[in-house]
Parts: sequence; structure tokens; C-alpha cells
Amino acid sequence: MHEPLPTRRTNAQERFDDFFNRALDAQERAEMLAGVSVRRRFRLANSDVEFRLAHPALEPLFCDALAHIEIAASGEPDFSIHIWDESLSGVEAPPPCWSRDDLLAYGEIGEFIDAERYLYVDLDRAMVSAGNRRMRSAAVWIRSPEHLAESERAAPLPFLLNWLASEAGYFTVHAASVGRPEGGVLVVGRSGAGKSHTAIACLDSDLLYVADDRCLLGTKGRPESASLYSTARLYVADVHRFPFLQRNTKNTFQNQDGKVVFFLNAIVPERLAPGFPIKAVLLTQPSGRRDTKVETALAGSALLFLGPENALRSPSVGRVSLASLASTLRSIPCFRLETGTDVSQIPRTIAGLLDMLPESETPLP
Amino acid sequence: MVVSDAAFEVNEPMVISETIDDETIIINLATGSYFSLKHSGATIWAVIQQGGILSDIAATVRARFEVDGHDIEHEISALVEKLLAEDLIRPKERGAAPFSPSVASAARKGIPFVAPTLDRFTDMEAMLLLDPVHDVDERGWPQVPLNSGHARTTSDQTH
Repeated sequence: MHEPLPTRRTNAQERFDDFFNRALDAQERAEMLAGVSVRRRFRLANSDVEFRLAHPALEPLFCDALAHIEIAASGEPDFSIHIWDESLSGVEAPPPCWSRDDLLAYGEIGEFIDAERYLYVDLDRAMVSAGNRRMRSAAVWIRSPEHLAESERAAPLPFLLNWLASEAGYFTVHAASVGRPEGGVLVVGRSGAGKSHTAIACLDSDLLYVADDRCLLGTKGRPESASLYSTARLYVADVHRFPFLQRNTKNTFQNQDGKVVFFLNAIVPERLAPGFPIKAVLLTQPSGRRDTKVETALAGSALLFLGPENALRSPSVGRVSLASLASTLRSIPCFRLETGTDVSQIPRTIAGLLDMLPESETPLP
Repeated sequence: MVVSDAAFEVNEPMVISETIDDETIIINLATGSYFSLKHSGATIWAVIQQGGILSDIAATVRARFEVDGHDIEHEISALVEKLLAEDLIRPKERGAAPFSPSVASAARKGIPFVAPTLDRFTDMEAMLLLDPVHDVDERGWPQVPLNSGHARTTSDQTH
């Protein structure tokens, strides 16, 4: 059995803790039944996070998109995530600690979330994630790989990882990030504005790639991006604009949104970076012209793109994330990037901007 | 029309906001809607946050903007009614604490007044309105109905 939790808990905390302990035990049982335990370790937001998978078939689902930040196991991890699959193991989830009414709210079940505890119930994907900071572990149950959307393979455990990273002041943002080890940019904009297009264009340049759609933004101290997933997405009709990706027929799949997902760590591993200091935010939009240009902009629009999504998708950290993102965006300049049809101009324009900006050595207060 | 000594407060904790570069982003966590207030709108929001009544808001706007030709009270009142309708603010009793006009003290003369608009964004609302009805038995999701034929090994057996 796992370590007993302290007394003087509320009824909700007791119910959660019981569920959580049972979930950890269930995952252990699933591993035992499978006769194999898979351990994969990743460097995520300055923490060593170990995935403990109860079946090898879970590896591609949860690990392929994180392969670029995989590290060798050394000592105890900072946090461990225990994952099992009911269809493979026959071990079902423990009885729920939540009620049917709790499920009216999407995803996070606020009644059970506090400074230590986290609970995310994903009905559509048939998946439950429960975490406990004090025990430095989380348990994840899935009904079967078939229930998980392809988006999970491209970007596994987004909510649990956002909660985990938020402890260190990192928040998942809907943004691309490209640059150099000494400094890069965060590229924000609505879906379809060209974030992926901009980031993928930089793969064929001297600039390094951290993310094309979703990354972590470190808000404690110097603003910095940190890579989360090494998957890039392009609409099928746009792939021909990037011949180095078009040539690649392996390490891709097409998702239900009509986009091709590329596992970049298997295609251009040398172009990927774990992260870098952020020197500027770029609000991207297509210009409709050949040339790409950049001009100054107000940061309020950047917060409009970044703040609400994180706060609404993860309300447990939403209040903190909005304030932290706002504080970070106040500290860095903001520009509008109008991307042209000549793809090669995009990285050149960003590189020229980075050359003009001062080093981002000033830490936040 | 909202009366001049009416007092309001931000509808916390379900409403959160931040301001950058004269643009305030407001999020209603309960509905999934989020909003943008720019220029005079951001100033009005800031005075409400600081406990100002309607006459305080009008005084602050006059101190900060060139308002010639505008019916300031009418413009402010219209915005306040929209904020109330969206549950972003709520009426409050006037307390003993006086309004501390830190916004007015940062007044910058010569900014032309533009009537405030509340831009509303609803693209995240659908995410919060998913139907939770799924294949559930009396024990609750994610337990599948006992007659489903689904293979099971109850995790309780490990205890």
C-alpha cells in the first residue's frame, strides 16, 4: 500500500485521496498482470518526470511526442505519472469520487482540486487523470487506446502536464516558439493565423524550433519558452510548401481535422531546441502578399490570445496563469508579423528582428 | 440609466481580469466568455475595480480624456449596463472606504475620448457546455454498465 495521508481532511479530500490511492494500486496491479513495466523519463519544465506505463503498447501513445525531451533515468524522478489501460490489463478504474453533477463542468473537477490535489475527467476520451503534489505522483486511467483521439498521440496529457508545470511557474500557451539558444520569440495568433506555418518555415533555416502550436511559457524570472511536444501540424494542402517535410513519408499521420501530424524528433532532431529566453512576442497573420514584414504592436492583443484559453481550459490554475502571463507580456516587446507567401522570408525576418533586440537578461521582479 | 451614486464591484471570483497597454482582458470563468475593453473602457474598469461610484468614473474619464462634445455620463452608463448584463460586475452597497483615485492621478491630458466598447469573444464557450450524458451505470462514470460484457478486474480486489 502507498503512504497513508494525513488526517483532518475535508470529506472531498478524503474521497479524492481514497480514489487516488486506489488508482495507484490499480496501475501497480495492471503492471503486475502485464508482467512488464515500462519506464520513460522526460525533462519537463525543469523537472524530471517519469512515465510508468503498464503496457508497452502505451509507449507510442504517450511518449512519441515527448521523445525530444527524453532523458536517461538517474536517481529518483521529481514526479512520476502512473498510466494504465483497462482494455489491455482488464483492471478498471476505481469507483469515482465525483458525482454525475460534477461532470457538468468540463474536465477539471474543482471540488477535488486544491494546492495538493488535481482531478481531470475527460469523458470524450474516456480518461481520468488524478495528481497529488505532496506524493509527487499522478495516476492516469484510460479505457482503451481506441477511445483516445489522435490528438492525444500528438499532444499527450495536456491538462495534467499544464498543472504539473504550473508549480514551477510554467503555463501551457497556444503559441509557437522559434529562435536561437540565446533568445527567441513567441508567436501567437488565432487558429489559422499561421503559427504552425511560421514555425515550420524556420525549420529550414538557422533558427531553432521549440513548438508550432503549443509550448510552455516560463513566467518566473526571465521569460522563456520550453518545449512540450515535438509534433508539428500542417493542412494537407500546405505540405507542398515545405519540401523537406513533403519528402518524409514516415513519422506522420493524418488527423481528423485534415492536418498531417509530423513527429519532428524523427525527422529534423537537430533543429529542435528544449527552449530559450523570450525576447519578443509576435502577433502573426498572413499578409496575402509575397513579402513578410514586422511592425510594433500592443501587448494587449497577445494577452487576448494567450490568457483566456489557458484560464478557461484549466481553471484550477487560471487565476494564477492570467496574472503571470500578463506580468510576463508586460516585460517583453510585442510586434505584428505579417507573413508573406515567400516562405524563406519568414525566418529571415524573425532573425533580423532578433538581431535588433537586446539580450533578455533582465529577470522579472 | 444608472444613477450617479450607484456602486459596483467586479463579480469575483468567477470574473478575472488583467490590463496591458490600455487594454483590459476580462474572463468570465462561469460562462467561458471573455472580453476586451480598450482605452476609456479600460479606465472605467479600473475605477470600478478600485471601488469608484459612477460619479468617480465620470470624473476620472474627464481627467484623462478630451471629452468635448461627448455625453460622458450616458456613455459610462451604457457600458456599465453591458457589464452588468454579462455578469462581469454586480451592484454593491457603498462602503465607508473612500474611492482612491490612482487611475485619475495617472491622468494624461489630451487623449481624445472614444466611446467604450465591450468586445465579446465566445469561441471557448462550447468547450464548457459539453453534454455529460454518456454510457454510465448507477456507480457513475467511468464504470461501464454491468451488462456491457466489458472485461473487468475490479481494482478494489487489490485491497
